[in-house]
Amino acid sequence: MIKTTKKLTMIQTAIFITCTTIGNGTLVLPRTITTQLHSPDGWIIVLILGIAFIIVSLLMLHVACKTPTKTIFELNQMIFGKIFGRFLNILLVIYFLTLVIYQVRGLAEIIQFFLLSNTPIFVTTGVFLLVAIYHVRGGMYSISKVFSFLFPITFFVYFFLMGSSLKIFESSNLQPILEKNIFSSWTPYIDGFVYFSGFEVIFILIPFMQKIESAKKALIIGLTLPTLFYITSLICVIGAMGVSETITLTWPTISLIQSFEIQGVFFQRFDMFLLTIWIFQFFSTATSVLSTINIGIKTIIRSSRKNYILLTLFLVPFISCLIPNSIIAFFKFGHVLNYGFLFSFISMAFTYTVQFFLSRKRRVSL
Amino acid sequence: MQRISFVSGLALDEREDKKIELIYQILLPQSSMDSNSTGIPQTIIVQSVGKNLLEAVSNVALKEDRIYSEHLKVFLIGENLAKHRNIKGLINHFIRDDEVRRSSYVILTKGKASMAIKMPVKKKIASEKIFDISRNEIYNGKILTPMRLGKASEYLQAKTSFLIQALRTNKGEIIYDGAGIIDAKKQRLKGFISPKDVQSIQWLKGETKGGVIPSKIDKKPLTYEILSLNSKVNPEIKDGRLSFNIFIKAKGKISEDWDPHENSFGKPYSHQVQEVIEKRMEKDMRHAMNTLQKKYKIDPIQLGSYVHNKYPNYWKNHKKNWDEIFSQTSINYFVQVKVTNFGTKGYQ
Repeated sequence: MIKTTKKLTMIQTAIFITCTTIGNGTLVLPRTITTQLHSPDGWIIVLILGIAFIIVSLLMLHVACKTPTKTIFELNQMIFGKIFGRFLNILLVIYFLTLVIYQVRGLAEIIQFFLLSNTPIFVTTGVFLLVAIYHVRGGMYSISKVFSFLFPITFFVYFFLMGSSLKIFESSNLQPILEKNIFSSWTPYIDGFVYFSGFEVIFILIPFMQKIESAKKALIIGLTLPTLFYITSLICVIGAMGVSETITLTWPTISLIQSFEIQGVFFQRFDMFLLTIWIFQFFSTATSVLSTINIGIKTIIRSSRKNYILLTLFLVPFISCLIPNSIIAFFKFGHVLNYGFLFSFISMAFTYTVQFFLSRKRRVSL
Repeated sequence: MQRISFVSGLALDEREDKKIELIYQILLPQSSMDSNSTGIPQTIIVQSVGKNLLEAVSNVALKEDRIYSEHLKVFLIGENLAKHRNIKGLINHFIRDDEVRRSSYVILTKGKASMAIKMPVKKKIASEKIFDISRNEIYNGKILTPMRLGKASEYLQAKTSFLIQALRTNKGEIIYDGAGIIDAKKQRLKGFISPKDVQSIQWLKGETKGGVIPSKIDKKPLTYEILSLNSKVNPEIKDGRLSFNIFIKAKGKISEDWDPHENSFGKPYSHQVQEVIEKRMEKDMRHAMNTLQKKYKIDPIQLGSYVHNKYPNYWKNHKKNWDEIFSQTSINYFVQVKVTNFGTKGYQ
């Protein structure tokens, strides 16, 4: 495979971040957050989370841009030394691996229920992972090219479907706004965390960007788009179906598309489109995270035996995906991932904070 | 294609022996070799019986090819079944199943649902005809907005009472005839309301898409056709007592007027016409609400949701006995009718 050393533009980086972040979330999000809240205000929570993440990560990015040739993995080893730095990187790699496993397993569940009920899970998982690994081998630029192709399709189909659902939208389902105090407990916010997981990939992408100055714009766009997707999903699902019903649905967004028909168009049943773009998104997230793990492992062990690394990248998720043997285990796994993301985020924030103070110290002591 | 059975409509009934009977209306693929093909799809009727719904559904496999429910458009629920069995439980299987769409319509039948689905109809098959008549809302206001399976599930889940369109069969004809009240607490059919009451309720909620109001001016027939109608429901709490103010704005045209003194070109006559229609609409709406408040003592038109939005605290304290409160609330109507057109003849 011809490896190119081209770098990413701002738009490509933004799309990269968006594709990594929007994964499993949008299909399940309306149920998990509404179950915690028991009120239709989930979209306000997602809005708050989105803004909070943008602000905090911009601060982190500010520090990261001072060392633009280093990924977060290299920075960890530089600052904390070989042993502790490696240890931290290993933990991050494990977290990213669980993220991949979650996405791939989610994909397998959906394909098995809605599309190919007779195909064994290991076939769909295996094929999916093989394609993703092959893609990873091509490098960051080729990955982002594919994302730039897939994402606009996802964007237009998704908003077209959500717009069509306004046919059965009832604003009374979303009212009264803020009937319950949304700050009374933090569990809805923690449940919302996992949906933003993946955006940390920006801290690996900085060395691959053409212009470092545009990283901030890329990050803002890259976080705003997922927030927009999630808020739309919440408002449309709860507006059409109400809180009580959404709580009972396994895949609320898919059920929403099944709830109405668009007359006069050639296709009348649109949930196939939703599932297709969602398969794109699962694939994007998995590929992006796998490439992150690839870089991480290379930084940890400094080996150029790339085929062995790729083989591990395939086998570990493949085998682990087959372990949870029911859909409930899968959802519980997603819940645990919230804490994994929290760890990853805090660890990166910690790294950048230390870096910030170290660089100040260096400047002062000069 | 020959190996799969496409279901177009499903009728659910309760038999005398308390078993559930399912009647599937299955489309047959038309063979182009058939010289008798008249363009009407051929259907066959498949019947299956069971102690509960899923037993009846699985018993179909004993006599018919695999049923493919993606084109299932209409569920017909028989009167006895809806009165005696928990409706939420009945539709549970269909909601869980991925093939059955949440967008399929649910309709109640007075009498047995199997009668309606077996009805031989000239141009279309019964389930398609039933489905298509539900689209006639623009022509006749006595048709309720069709109840989607998903929406029925949402109401049942939220424990809100609601209305479902009803139909009856008469001398080989299928006629839409009023609506059935589904009691959310018991999750069963409580009773029926007449088509005229359905029309008045559609006005009240602003959900009407058309329809004709026959009335009398100077004892001569006058017919007003609604082109558009907006309504605003405003709950009001004064001294702890709840009342509703309903504001209706209708625009329409006169489609029939036998009054020999008609002068639609002049203002005083138009005002007279407007007053006649306004009084008529208010009278009809009062009658409909009377049926709901005094006869059935239940709120199947979700007036409670307006109270919930405007007075959330009051709702929190009173939602448990909302039906009783509803039966005692006074309702004030403010109808404003406008005649925008009277056709090509305006004077007699």
